[in-house]
Amino acid sequence: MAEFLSQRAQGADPDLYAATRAVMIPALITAMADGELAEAEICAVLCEFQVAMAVFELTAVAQDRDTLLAVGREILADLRIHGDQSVFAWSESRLPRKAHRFAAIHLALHVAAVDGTLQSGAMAVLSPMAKRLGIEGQALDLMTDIAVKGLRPKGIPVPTFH
Amino acid sequence: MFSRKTEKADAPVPRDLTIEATVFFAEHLRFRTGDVAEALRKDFPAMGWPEKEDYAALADIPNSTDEMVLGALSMGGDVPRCTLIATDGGAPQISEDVLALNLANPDLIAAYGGSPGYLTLSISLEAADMVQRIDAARRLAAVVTVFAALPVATAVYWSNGLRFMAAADWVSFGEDALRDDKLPLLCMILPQSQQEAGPDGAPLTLAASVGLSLFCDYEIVMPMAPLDRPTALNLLMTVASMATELGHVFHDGDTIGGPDGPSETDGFRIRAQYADDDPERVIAMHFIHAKSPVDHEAQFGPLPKRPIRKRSSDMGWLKRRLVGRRAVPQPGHTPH
Repeated sequence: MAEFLSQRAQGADPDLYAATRAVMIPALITAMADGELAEAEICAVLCEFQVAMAVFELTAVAQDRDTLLAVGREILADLRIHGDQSVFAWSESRLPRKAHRFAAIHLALHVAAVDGTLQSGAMAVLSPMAKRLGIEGQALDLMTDIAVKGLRPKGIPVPTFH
Repeated sequence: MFSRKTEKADAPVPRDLTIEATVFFAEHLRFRTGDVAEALRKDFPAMGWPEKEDYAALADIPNSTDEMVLGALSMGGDVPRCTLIATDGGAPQISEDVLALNLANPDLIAAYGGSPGYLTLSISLEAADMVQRIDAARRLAAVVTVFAALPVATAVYWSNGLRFMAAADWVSFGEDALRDDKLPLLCMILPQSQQEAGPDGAPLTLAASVGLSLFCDYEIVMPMAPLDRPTALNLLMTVASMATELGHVFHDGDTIGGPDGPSETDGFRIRAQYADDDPERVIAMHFIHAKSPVDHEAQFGPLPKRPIRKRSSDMGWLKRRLVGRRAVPQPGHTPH
């Protein structure tokens, strides 16, 4: 199912759209580890997405809630149709810079640790993705610690999408 | 056969009509009409869209082409709302004849055939004169362009001109024309041509429009003439542009110059063809080249004794719009 706003964003800047979508994918796969996502959960992921993009000084294809939500919905539809492996492989091939890969895992970790504790099921899904993106060992441990403690760099506001 | 009227063809009589287009999608599409309205304001700001939907609650309801869609969009100006429809009965089928007339290539036909999603957009006009028809067609074309520009769009069918093309081509032809305050005729008129060998073996070309009658109530025919195909089609579209965007009124019996010379040697004689059931209604304007083998008097009757050259009070669509935008100078007013 294609989403009008997501499609418009893709038409306007295909490369930026692909990078935005690719950063979101590992987080949505992680969030879906324990089942289907409600709209409010997608919004929570999108709030963290904006923080992750700001932390790594990246630009998303859109800033508004409705467009980002539409991109998220398209990803979920693809996950249902094509499965995690196929969608993640697409994401892996379209994370153009190291910063994008770190942003993707940073976002996925914050989603996995949203209540201050890491869900084992989520980490089982997340760790292999991080490894395939070249993030493991000390780097992954440090990023996990930051996510569990809910640490955020100063000066980056947390947007609310509710 | 043709009646032998010698009156001029004038501006079209106001009548009811529906303008309709269908956009096909490679997968089903979910949208809110409020988002489409916002896209129109953003992509075509000079066209003067309504600031806010007057049915805001409906504008926020998600529509999906995999279910029944029945939406409406405010168009602004004097143009009635555009309706957006998709049914679960499947996409409209474009006949093989129409695909062939549009020279649709196999890739495009395959993309259209494999498109599960579609949306039919239409505007119904009542007693619409030429200005209203053009305004409505431009606004509908803008809505079509917003949908056709989506990467998931595959093809567009403009029903009134039997015009079928790839969605990317529609955007390529239409977007700039709409932004330049023009009518995207290449998207709306299907130019037809046919060639045969003349008496001396040189090729003769016939060209005709399909879809111009939406605006003018008549089509243009350029009977067999010693012109190459690109020249004939180019002339056809030029005449279509004169009749619509410039509001030119052609008269039975008039002559106009051609690309290679004056009307006597390389120009065209204009002859009107009237409806069999209505001798007042022109259904086609024939532009007969000076070197065409067609005997226009045998086909359309003797020339009017004196081509009627009464100056039309209709200044044309473009001029009417310009006058509407600017203050009309008042008598006695001295410009600074």
